[in-house]
Amino acid sequence: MQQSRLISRKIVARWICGSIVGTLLVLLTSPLFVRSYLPREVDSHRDAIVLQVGAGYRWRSEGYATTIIGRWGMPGKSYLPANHASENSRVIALWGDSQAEGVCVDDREKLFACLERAYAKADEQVTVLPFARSGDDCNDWIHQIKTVESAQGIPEIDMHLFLVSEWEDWSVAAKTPSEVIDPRLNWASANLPAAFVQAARNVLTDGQTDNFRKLRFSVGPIAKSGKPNTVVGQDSLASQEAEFQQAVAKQFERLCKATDVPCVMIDAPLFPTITNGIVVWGPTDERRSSAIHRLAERNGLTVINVNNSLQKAAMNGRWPRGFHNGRFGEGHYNGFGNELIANQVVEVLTQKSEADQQTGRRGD
Amino acid sequence: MQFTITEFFIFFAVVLVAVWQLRTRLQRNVLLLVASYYFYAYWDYRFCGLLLLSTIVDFVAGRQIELATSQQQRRRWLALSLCVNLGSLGFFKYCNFFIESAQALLAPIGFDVSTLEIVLPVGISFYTFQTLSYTIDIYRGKLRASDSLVDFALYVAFFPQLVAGPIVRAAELLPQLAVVPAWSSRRAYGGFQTVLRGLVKKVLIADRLGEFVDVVFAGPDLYSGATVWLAVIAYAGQIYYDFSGYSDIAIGLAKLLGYRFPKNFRHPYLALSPAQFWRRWHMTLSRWLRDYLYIPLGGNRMGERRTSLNLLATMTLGGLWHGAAWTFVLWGVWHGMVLCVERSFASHTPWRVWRSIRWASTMGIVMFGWILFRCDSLKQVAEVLGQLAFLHTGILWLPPLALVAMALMLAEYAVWMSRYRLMMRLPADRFYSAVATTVMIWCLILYAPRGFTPFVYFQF
Repeated sequence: MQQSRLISRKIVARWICGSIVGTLLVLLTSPLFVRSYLPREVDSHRDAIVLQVGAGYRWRSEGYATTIIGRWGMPGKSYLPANHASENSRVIALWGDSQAEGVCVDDREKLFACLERAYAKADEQVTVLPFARSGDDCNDWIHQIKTVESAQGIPEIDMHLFLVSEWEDWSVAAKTPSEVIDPRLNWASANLPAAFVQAARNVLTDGQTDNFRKLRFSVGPIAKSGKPNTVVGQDSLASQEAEFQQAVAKQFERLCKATDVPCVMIDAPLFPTITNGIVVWGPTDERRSSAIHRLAERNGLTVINVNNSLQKAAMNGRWPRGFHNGRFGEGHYNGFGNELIANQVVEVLTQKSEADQQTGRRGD
Repeated sequence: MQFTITEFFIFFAVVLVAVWQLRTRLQRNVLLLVASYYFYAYWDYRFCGLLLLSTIVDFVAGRQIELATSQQQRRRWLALSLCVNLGSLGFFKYCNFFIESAQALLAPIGFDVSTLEIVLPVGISFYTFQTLSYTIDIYRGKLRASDSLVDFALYVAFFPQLVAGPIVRAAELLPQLAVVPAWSSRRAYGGFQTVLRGLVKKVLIADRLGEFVDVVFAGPDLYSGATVWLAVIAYAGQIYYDFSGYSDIAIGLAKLLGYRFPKNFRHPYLALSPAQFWRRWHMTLSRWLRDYLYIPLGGNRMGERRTSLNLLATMTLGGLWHGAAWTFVLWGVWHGMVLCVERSFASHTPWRVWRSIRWASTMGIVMFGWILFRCDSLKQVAEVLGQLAFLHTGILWLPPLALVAMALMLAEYAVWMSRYRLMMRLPADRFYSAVATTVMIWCLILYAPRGFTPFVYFQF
């Protein structure tokens, strides 16, 4: 009896020690596979919530990179050159969503770094300030543009550059963004290992929607939710498109009122894409793009369409979007895609400024 | 209900606690029966009727066969069982397949036949084979008919094996259901470890490989030869770990409830010949096909030519059992042909050469079979083979997580082949068992793909 108790005590002790060792093993190796969770803070210069300045933001699910969060929450921009405010140097603010933020690529492969390199090749000193944030739309950009331009400490901006992957980001109803930091998530991000936060997230939230899990114990079949499929008539489609373009036009006007600095839009749609084994080369509705380009030009905004370059690259076997640990032909721009976009943007803008100079000289 | 969803873990915990509180056989079996029907109804309650119909018909047929006084009566009752079971399987699983095939043949001469909207009831292929084996065994005098409808209904609907096997025979499970099993901590621990191992196989290996395989097979012509080669190998891993993972979970759950299921896999990719492969792959199906199809057809007792024909017919029907598509039929024919060839050359040199060559050629045969099995059409088969022959260029995609999953697969085989094989059982009194169990649980929580991936064999 005593012996069996001794054995069971021994076994319990082994299991307790074993679980601790097992957990430590997982914690030690988890940075190889688990993204990091950083606390967020309000940046007064931008009036926006940003990731903790100075921290390293590890991304693992698509691409494999660690981003250093620079001043004003700029992802990957850990330094500002001393001469960024000199006469010969220009400053560009880069806006966009996660595509422009680029946490899935190394800092030197991010779009801002590619732009700086491309300008350097063209003998221009340009500092690009990456203000893009995941999930942002035009309401966030317009709001931040106003605060950034009036903030102390941020260099004077010579151009606002927008990476537009979806024009829907410009068709949202106008409103002032109101962001709130979740104190519980911030506490967990600051105090717990990322593996624990990720584990809690996996257990508590639904993988597809990221909302809290809802358990179902009722018998099936599950009633199909959602609206019934209805055929949309041509008139209805046309009016939807008109509404869409009106919304975009309004936001362009808001942008123009918010700043006097030249604005350039990079039209970089999420194409070519691979859907169910089929390559979709470009947007199905080219008319929408053309109409929006005209709207932009009417508001004095320059649009650079990079879709052709992206298509050509994919045709030659180099896909601008996708990673080995994700999927090619979908997801975020990779280092090659960013470089491709940057090179074309700099080429177009350089040609434009030369053309403007020549026109100016002729005018003199 | 899938074994990998949160709801199932809660459901099983409740059933497990409740079942061990009950003292009588009837109470236990009624509870497990109700739980099994709930498990099935969770997907679609309407098909419980079909399950019940099959159960009642076979219960009655079984008893009548036993009570029958003449051979003719016995045959009639057996025929009824065969008609109901094969009829429902044929209607739900193959009706549209035959209509579509007829349509393809008749379309050039102007006939148009439209398909029906039929939903395939989950697990129909598995429980049909189980109930068929019951009545056939009684007919053959190998089994006594069950006296208890509850026991028999539980045998047919027992949730750990209801939707994707292992195909448990009545002679294996009914005697276990006739007694109250005694609680054993050792057995429960073994069951827990088997479930955990199954979950790791399914979620961490098969699902990760599946993410890669699905994308490449959706458009093989887009990817480079190296990527397609990798995808074919990954698919071999996916289907094995998916199905053997499911079988492990089923076996482990049954163990936790106090019952024993037969093994379904024995490291099939170590096979040195196609025949060996089939003795290690989906063993309960191979056994079923041998005993209820191949041997009744004559087996190997009627000369070489007839034996080959029997083999070919058995494997072709085995292929068709997997799915209602010509690619599955071709897969069955391929394996049937290979088994015939192997049989013809069994006494000659080719199969007596080095083990490594035998292994490599067996794997080549199996892999080619998996291409037929995975592709939706012959056009897709041609595309995959074209890419495998490096006929076209394409995207070179080497996903690291799929490579990690393949490394895990190799590691599992390597340990199993080594003298450390016993360590894989993770004995309860060992320190490394605690470490490995903790690591496995953490990995399941942290590294499971976010989203729901059904078991591959659920579609069959």
